[in-house]
Amino acid sequence: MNAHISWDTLNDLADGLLPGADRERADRHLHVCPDCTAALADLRSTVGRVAELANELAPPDELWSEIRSTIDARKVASLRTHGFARARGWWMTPRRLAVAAVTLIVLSSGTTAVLLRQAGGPGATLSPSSGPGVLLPASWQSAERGYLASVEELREQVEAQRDRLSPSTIAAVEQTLATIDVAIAEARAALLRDPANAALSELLASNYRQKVELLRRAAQLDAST
Amino acid sequence: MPRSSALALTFAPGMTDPTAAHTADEVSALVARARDGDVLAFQRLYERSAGRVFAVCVRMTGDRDRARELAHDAFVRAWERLNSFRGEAQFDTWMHRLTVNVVLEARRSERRREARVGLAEDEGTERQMERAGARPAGDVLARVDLERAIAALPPNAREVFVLHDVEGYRHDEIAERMRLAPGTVRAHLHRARQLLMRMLSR
Repeated sequence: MNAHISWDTLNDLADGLLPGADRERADRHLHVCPDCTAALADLRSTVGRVAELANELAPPDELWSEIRSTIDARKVASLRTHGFARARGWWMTPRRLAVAAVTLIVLSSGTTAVLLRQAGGPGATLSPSSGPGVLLPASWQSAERGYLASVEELREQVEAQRDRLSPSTIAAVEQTLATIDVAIAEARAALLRDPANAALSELLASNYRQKVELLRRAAQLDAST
Repeated sequence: MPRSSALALTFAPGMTDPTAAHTADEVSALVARARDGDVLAFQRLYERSAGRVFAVCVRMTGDRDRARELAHDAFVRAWERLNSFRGEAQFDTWMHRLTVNVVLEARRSERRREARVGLAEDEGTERQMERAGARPAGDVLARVDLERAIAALPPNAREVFVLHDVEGYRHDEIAERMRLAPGTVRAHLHRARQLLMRMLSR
């Protein structure tokens, strides 16, 4: 082999992919060619630098909450109907919304009750629901104001297109919102009783996210639903 | 599929080895609970694998914002497909494979939408790199670190390089997953290495 080793052959050599005879020819050339020897060393060095790479990279802090929001939204309602473009968002029939509302009541109330029993022992019950007038722990107040502001803004958008929606759709949305409000009130009351309970805090946040998500999607509905 | 045993496992600053947190039985228990709808259990699994998943997405896309979207999609898909995880492989391996599939599927969708532009982007990117990177101008271009160099690779070359040299996939595995001929995979890999050498040389 008089000519230098081609780049492709050099790579195959570095990867151990050259057949026997070709490898022997390459090795003989390397013995007499410092340029190719240096090129092979550079190539192996470059590839070897991947060992410098961290095995993991820290994801953005908000990634989990974004994932959780998506999971929660999909637990409340079925996903997009086939044929609807992503831009239109998912939607579901009023019947499916009703089923999802019942599911949410069962899941949320059950979860709240379990968490309360864990905190207060057997017999712990849900305290009477308490509205936003009763302040949550200081760490929660800012977040709750944020959620309420989002809810208010989205409600206005939904109201703006109320006339274009069918009565059954409006009824389904309102029923589901009422259900979510019950879940929020229960979780809120539970958190007031046990402010340090991280699971209750997460449950309340999840319920608020569901409400925001539902209103956001309702605001995207068009007259065909 | 797993990274070569010759590669040392290192972790980003501030991160601890999440694999030390759970035994195999504990992971199986978390998976079982998550499969039954326990989101907090799934969150534990997320915490265990998020760094690895995000790393794969960042390196294959070269774009942290896009990587964030794809990491999100990967975990949501994992949540939805937990029933298909039968425990024949470790959860980490399953999650890794699922993540690679999510990234490659997204890339295929993008290619379909931008078919000819996509090809031009690969070629255009390489021409830009050759003009600007083959001979860095003095002190203007500081030594490019490896992560940024990988991110600057043309899309196809970057994906193949990451899957082969970083993640340890074989040529035939990459060819199958990327739906490319093995010769094309080889060409992309060799080109990626050549471009990296140029960028990383002083």
